[in-house]
Amino acid sequence: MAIIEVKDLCKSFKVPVRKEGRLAAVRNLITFERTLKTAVDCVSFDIERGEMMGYVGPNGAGKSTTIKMLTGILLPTSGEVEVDGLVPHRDRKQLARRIGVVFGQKSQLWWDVPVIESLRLLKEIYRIPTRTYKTNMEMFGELLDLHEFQQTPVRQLSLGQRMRSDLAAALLHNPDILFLDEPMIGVDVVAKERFRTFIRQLNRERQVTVLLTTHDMSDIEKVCESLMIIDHGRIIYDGTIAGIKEQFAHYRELTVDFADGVSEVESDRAELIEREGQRARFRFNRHRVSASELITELAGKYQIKDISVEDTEIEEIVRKIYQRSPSENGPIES
Amino acid sequence: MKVVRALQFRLRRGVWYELRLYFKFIGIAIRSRLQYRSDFLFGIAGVLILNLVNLSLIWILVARFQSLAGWQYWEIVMLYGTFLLSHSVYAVFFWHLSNLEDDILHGRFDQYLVRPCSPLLQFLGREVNYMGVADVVFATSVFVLAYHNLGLNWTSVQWGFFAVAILSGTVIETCIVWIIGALAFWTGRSRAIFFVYIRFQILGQQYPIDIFGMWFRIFITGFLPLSFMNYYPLTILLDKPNALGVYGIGFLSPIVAILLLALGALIWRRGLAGYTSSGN
Repeated sequence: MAIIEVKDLCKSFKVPVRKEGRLAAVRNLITFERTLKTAVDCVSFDIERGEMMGYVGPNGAGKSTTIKMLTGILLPTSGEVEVDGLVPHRDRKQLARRIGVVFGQKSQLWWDVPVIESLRLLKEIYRIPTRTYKTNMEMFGELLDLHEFQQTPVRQLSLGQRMRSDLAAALLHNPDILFLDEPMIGVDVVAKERFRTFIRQLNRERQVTVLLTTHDMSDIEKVCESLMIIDHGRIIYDGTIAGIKEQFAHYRELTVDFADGVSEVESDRAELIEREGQRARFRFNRHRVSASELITELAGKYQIKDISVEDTEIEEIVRKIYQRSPSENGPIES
Repeated sequence: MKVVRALQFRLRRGVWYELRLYFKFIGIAIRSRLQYRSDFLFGIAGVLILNLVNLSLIWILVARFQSLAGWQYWEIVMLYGTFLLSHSVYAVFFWHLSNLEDDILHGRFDQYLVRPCSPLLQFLGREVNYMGVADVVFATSVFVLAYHNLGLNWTSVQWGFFAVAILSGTVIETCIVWIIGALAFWTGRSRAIFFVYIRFQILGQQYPIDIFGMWFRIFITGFLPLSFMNYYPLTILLDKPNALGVYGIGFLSPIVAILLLALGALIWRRGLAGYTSSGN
């Protein structure tokens, strides 16, 4: 049975109508007109226990709104949500004991006191048994290097350190599900890598279910097995990461370094898209031509020094999906 | 019966758990505050000066007219001191209720909701306002001075009533600000209303309401019941006729406090249920 079940979930907000034209500011002040803005539009999905799911979409697509409904912060307009057998908004406090949440843009910790004091307080809030607390603190100390800065007030931490503290705070009570809402904004490459390793290990050892939203597709590729894409409040892709390449990445690229003396190059099977000195880049349709066929053809015709094949980056695929016009945005099954 | 007892047990454990946490939150808030020492000292000095100015204004007024609506200078000082005693408790622990809209507007309220304890106590426990400490000191000295100069000699029953009145006053002021703050759940902002309220509070804190017209007396008794904080209880303790001419209104202070608390709780629950986070 899925740990998160969402069916026909919608959320719309009433927003004041912005007037334009003459005296707009005054008219905005006295108007009571409201329109409904749909942030999440009839979304359905399941997340299995122990799954690591990436959740991406452009700004304002409805990612955060979905997470807020899953964590019980927001009441859905319609539809059904069940998280770990609980209805989030109704059983909010009960659910809070079983989930961990990191909002990358706001720290959950007490700003002016050392990290360790926040963690001690969380131990009281979640009524964490001392043994569990000690085990977890040891683990965080080892994997997140928490002891390096646990005596420092949160406001003096670097972004990377703050993110690690927030992560520790969200995991202290051994939650079944971890919601990560853009946890790595502004964090450097090294800290990011460490974060990814930590999440993977956590998932492996404790079967924690993870829902991760981010704008960095490499986070998703390195951490998650599956991916949901939301745009204009609708889920437009729900499937594996391999699946999305299969489905959208029709083209691959072949870069060839030719030996000196080779001047004109062309291929019957691929399109030449760039030529610079002795290096040329070809694009070919992966469904019609295999890389080996293409290489055989080129090697037969010219003398070759070096060769490499590249898949379309997932970043590129997702960007293309965002850019499609809204009328094309029907759901795509994987 | 078994069910009822189990429920009672859970309730008691719940209340105990929440209160214990609240005091832990306050502990952290105090330690946070102490990190900024110079701010602390300047704040205290500021409050003392503000209160001195207020008192001298009253003195100028009374020196000119001998008395205000039958209230002598030291009686008015006592009026102010009583208000300030109630107010100081509010100022230390609940001042930031007037900033509730910031938490709602900036989405900080979200984080209270993903923890398994009361969002209200998390919010209240986030800050203590050290400036209120100056209010406590000032209020006590002003009150003691007035008590001496009026040559009073209260019985223990009168002192008991006075204590209840002070406590009710704190609850009344806290609840009014709480309710105004909670309006931000619907409107997003409530500070404008808060400033209007402050205007009325200034009138009520330092003048016997006899000096105002009947409409205003009714307003500050029935609609914005600020006069239950100091004026009505003191008319009983100082044995003076009150502005509405109905004996014993002052005894109603604790009842007014309880009613406001109930109203506040109701509005808060409604607001929380319909809370729509600000989004990112």
